[in-house]
Amino acid sequence: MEDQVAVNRNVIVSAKFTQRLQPGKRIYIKSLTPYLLVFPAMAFLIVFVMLPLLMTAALSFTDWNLISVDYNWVALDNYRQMLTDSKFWKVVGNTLVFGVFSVGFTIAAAMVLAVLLNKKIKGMPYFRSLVFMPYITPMVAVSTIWIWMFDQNFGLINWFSELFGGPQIPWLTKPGWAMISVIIVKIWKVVGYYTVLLIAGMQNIPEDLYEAARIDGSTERSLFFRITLPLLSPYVLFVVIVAVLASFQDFDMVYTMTGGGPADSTNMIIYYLYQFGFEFFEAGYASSVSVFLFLFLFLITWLQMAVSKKWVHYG
Amino acid sequence: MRRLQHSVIVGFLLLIALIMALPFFWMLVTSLKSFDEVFVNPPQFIPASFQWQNYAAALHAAPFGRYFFNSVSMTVLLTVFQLVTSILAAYAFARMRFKGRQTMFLMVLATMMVPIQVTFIPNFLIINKLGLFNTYWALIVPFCASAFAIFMMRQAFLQVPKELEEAATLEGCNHLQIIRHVMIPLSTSPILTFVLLSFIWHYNDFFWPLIATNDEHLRTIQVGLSGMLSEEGGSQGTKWNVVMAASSLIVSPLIVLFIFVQKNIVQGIATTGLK
Repeated sequence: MEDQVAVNRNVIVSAKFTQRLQPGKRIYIKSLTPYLLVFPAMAFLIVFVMLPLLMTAALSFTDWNLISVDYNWVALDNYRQMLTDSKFWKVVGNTLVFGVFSVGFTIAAAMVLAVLLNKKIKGMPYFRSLVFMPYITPMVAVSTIWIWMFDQNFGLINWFSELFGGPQIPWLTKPGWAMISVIIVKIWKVVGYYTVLLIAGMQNIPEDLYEAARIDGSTERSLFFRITLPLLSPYVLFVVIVAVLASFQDFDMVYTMTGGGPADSTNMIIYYLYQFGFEFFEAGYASSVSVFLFLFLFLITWLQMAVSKKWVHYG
Repeated sequence: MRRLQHSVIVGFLLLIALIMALPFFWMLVTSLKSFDEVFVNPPQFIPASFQWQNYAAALHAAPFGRYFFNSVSMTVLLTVFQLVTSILAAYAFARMRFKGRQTMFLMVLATMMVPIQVTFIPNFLIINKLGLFNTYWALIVPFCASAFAIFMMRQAFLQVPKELEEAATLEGCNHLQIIRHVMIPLSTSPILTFVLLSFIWHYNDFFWPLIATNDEHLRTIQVGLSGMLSEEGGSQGTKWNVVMAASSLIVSPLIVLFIFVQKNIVQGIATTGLK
C-alpha cells in the first residue's frame, strides 16, 4: 500500500516535471535568457565591487595586516585610533582645503572659458582641443612635467617669476606652497574637461531666449546672469558634484609629486589610506579609513543635492 | 568697439592656449637637451643641439617597450571584456522584462557610486585568494565589468526603435543576432565614446597596477615612469632630460589618439558627461 503511494507520488512528480520540460521547454529556456545575459556583468560587479565594499566594512573591525591568514577582531579600536590621530585630522583638513580650492577655481575658470570658447571665432575647435588635452594626459606624466616646471632653481616658473621681478618660490619644498602647487596642477589638468561639459550645457539653451532678450535691449552681462547662469545651474551642480568627488579621490598626483610631504602638508585621505594599507601593512586600520572616506563622499554628495534645491533651476 | 572686444578675446584665448601648451612644450624641449644644458640659467628654449639619444637612453634606462606592451594590451583586453559584458547586460536591461530587473539595475547604479579606491584592499585579498597576485590577470580581472558601461550602453539601446527589433525577430533572429545586427550598428557613436574613455582611464591608471603587481615584467607604463622618477634621483640629481624623454614617449600615444578622435571624444564627453 505504502509502495503504491510512493510510486504514485513518483509518477505524479515526474509527470509534472515532463509537463514542464516537454511542451514548455522553450519557454523555460527563454525565461532564463535575460539572466544569462546579465550574469557575466553582475558576477564581476558583485565579486569585485559589492563584495569588497562589505569586506572593507568587516575588515575595519580587525587588525588584519594584508598578508597573514590570522587576524583578530578588535571591534572599534581602529576607529578610535583614527579619530584620535591628529595626523588623520590634518589629512582630512588637507583634503578639504584641496577640494574646496581646486574645485572652486576650476569651476570658475571653466565657466569663463566655456563662455569664451562657445563663441564662433575661427580656430575655436583647436582652442577647445588644446584646453582639453591635459585631461587625457596621464597624471603621472603631468606630475613629472610639473615637478620640473616647479623646480626651485631651474624651473620655468621661478624663471618667469624672476623675469617679472617676483620672488623665488620654494614651490614643492615648503608646506604652504606645496599645497598651492598641487592645486595649480590639478586646475591645469582638469579645467578643460569641465569646460567641455559646461559648453555642452550652454548649447542646450535655446537661442531664441537670447534673441528675445537682445531685442529688449539686455546687455551681454545681463544675458549671462539672467539666462545662461540660471539655465546652466543643473549642469553646474552636476559638474561640482563630479569635481568634488574626483578631487577627494586624488592619488596619482600626491604619490608622484610630493609623496604627501613636506611634513604631510599635501597628504590626503587616499594617500593616507594607501600608506597604511600598502606601506605599513595595517589593512584593518586602512579599511576604517576607507569606510570613513566612503561615508564622507556619500555625505558630501547628499549635502550638495540638498543645498542645490535652493539654487538649481530645472527648466 | 566690437572689433576691439573681439581682439581682446582672441588675445586672452591665446594666453590661455600658451598656459595650456607650455608644460608640453617644455617637456619636449627638455627631452632634447644635453644633461648640462638642462641646468642652465636662464633656461634655453631651443636646445643648442638636439639630443635625440635621450630617447634611446630613456628606452635603455627602463624596459619601456615591455611597459608599453603591458599597458596597451591590458587596456585593450579590459575594454573588450567591458564591452562584451556590458552590451549583453545592457541589452537585457533595455529590452527584456524579467523578474529582478529593477533591483539588479539599481545595484548597477549603486556600484557606480562606490569610490573605487575603497575596494582596493579587499580586491587585493580576493586577487591573492584567486592566486592571481603578480600575474598579468591581476591587472585585468577586477575591471572586466563596468557599471558605467552598462549604464551608457543601456541608454544607447533604449534609443533603438522597437520596430527594428520586431522586424529582426520576424526574420528569425535570436537575441544575439539582434544585438549584433541591430543594436551594435545603431549605437556605434556611444560605443566608440566608451572605448575611448575606457582606453584613457585604464592606460592612465596608476593606483591599482601599483599594488596588484610588483614584478618588473608586469609594470605598466605609468608605474614604470613613477619608478624611474624615484630611481633617477642619484648623487648627480635627476636626469631631467631623460625623464622628459620618457614622459614624451608615454604621452605621445594619447596625443596621437586624441588628434585623430578629438571631435568624437569632446562630443562624446559633452553628451555622456559622467566621470
